[in-house]
Amino acid sequence: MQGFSRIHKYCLLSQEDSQPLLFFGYDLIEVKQLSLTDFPLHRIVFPIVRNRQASMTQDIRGIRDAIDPIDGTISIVTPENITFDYHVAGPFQRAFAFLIDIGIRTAILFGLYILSLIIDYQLGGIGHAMFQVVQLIVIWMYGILFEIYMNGQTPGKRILGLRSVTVDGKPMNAMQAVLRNMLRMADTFPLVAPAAFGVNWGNSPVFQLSFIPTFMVGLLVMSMNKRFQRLGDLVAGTMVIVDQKQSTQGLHDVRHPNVLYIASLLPANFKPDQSMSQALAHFIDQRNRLAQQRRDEIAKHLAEPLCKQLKLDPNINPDLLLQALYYRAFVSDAQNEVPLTVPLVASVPTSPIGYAQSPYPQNVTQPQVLQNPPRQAPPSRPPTRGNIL
Amino acid sequence: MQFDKTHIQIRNRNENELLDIALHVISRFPVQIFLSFALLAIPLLVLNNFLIGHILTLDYNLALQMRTSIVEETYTSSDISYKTFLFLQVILIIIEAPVASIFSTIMLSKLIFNETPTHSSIIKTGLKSTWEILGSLGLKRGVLFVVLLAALMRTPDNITRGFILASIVLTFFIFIWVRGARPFILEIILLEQSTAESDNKMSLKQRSRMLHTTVGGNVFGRSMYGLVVGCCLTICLHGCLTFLAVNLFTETGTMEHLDLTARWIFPIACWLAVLYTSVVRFLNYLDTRILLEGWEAELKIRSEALRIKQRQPLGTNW
Repeated sequence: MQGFSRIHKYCLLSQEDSQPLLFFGYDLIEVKQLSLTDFPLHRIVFPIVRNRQASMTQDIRGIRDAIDPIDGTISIVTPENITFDYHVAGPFQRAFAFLIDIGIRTAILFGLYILSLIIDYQLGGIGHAMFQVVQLIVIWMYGILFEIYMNGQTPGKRILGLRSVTVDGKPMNAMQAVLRNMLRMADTFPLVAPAAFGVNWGNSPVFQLSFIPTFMVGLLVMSMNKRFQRLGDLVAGTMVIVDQKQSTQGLHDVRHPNVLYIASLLPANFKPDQSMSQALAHFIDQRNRLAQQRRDEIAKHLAEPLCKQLKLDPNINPDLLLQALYYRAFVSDAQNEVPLTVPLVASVPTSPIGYAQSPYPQNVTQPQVLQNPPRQAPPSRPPTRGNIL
Repeated sequence: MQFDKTHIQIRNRNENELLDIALHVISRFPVQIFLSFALLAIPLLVLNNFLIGHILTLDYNLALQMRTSIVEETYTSSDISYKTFLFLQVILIIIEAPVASIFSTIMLSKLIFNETPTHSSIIKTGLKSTWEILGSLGLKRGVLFVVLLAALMRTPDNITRGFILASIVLTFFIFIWVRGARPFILEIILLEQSTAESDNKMSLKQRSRMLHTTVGGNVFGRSMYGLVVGCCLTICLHGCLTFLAVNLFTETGTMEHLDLTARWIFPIACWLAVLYTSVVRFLNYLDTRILLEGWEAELKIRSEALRIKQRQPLGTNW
């Protein structure tokens, strides 16, 4: 019974016979090469009923075979069992915010330097000394103060819609802001002399003391964890997320006679639910870019089971059916329009090749985006981007 | 292709997201990607040294010998040859980048779609498309450079050398423009197995036009952005590798062996950046296809279809 591998938070699988063992209430983080003596026996429940073993093994194999797809998104489950998806910002998204902050900091320092020169001129050598002190404060406290008082944002982050939060998704506290900013320098390592790049400025003190940051430590550390945390983030328990932006594209005009006719064939009590509406909205958003063959190919996946369930003619053009569903989901209720009951055109015009060709007859205009559709009761338009799977 | 069994979530992303995701892709499959890339990158590293190493060897050694007698002149001479060598090295690496990433691209395409390829299988797949690659990347885009470099090797006259160098630079910028506008040729050849002419499939030219011109501005912009990021990454990697070399392999703690830096450290930094940009290019290719072929919409529609199939019959609860 030795040699288990980690499968799931509460599941272990014996490597010898692939039989599942369930550990209730035992939080297994990293378990490798264990023996049963490592666990209190009263916490181990062996597969209880023999006929459940097969399905249980299958489930666990499913977990083992499942892929955790790479996506810059992490999910956080609150104690209330609500899941929040955060889009974490990687090094290249953060680099621009960093550059903006560097620019602002340099501008502040330049202003202070001018001020110090004026003070120097008026009061003697005091200005230069003051500048040295203020310079240190600006360099080290810029990020700390802004992140404390602007809820995890610096001006650069605010411009680019980024925010530092804790790994639980909560606002970070002052100590975390201090920690992550104090360790910023470590991410710029290794610092190399300009001579490494073949630059030679002679023996001036500026050249002798200047170092160029390569940021390779930061890049390496960030690429090795799922939340793109740099060293400072790891120590402070923080991460940088992208503030969610809802895309507002407006409704697409799908009121073609054929679409309206198919919409009239749909059962009166049928209304796509939120999940289906989301999928339909996404399809309609993208369909203008697709060739007619590809539109039909995609739409067929949903049209076939729907035709079966709604008892519709299976020969209905799948693309038109999905447009009719979109019409039912977003347009018909809103505009109180009665679908036209014109006979369905037997052969729906298609454009076999090419992205830009219209699927409609020449005298019918292309579907257009209604920027401000008159709506009495606005339907809940789902965001067109985001993961629903 | 099964879009729901991929190692990358199928959805449209912006350029910075792709650059970030590429880091995760490399850290998920480091050994496979590095090995498949090294299969071609190491021979090319040696080949480049053979092609342009003479610039560094002749002038640099001459300059070193003369350093004791005419200090200023030799300094200038060695400096020029050093910079010329680095510049030509960069040009060569940028030209060879698609060729070097042949096997790593095939490897990535298999890994992303949850297959377990062997190195022999990816070599076989790569060799199948040899003629197409030679035709579109070698003859159309690379042959002029080879001719110019050969001329450079054979020309002792400084004025002619200068003229040839200027031609190389001009050709290079045209090359960058062409490749920026058509960056996914390699992916089309390798992954879609497109050939120059085919009866029942879209030809290479047709497919390339479809993929590159529909969202041409986007493709070109991303390609140029990738090039800029690659250059920045090269500088950072070069600094880092020099730092390691100085601290690990020298007693004095200073880099005195410019020859070593130019011949090995700088090209290695370049090739590592090429590896990264090839992963980014592959992700860009996927992203373009997701956009043009509606993969994301298909995934959502299919997922909805599955949900409907599993749901109770109509009439009970919608």
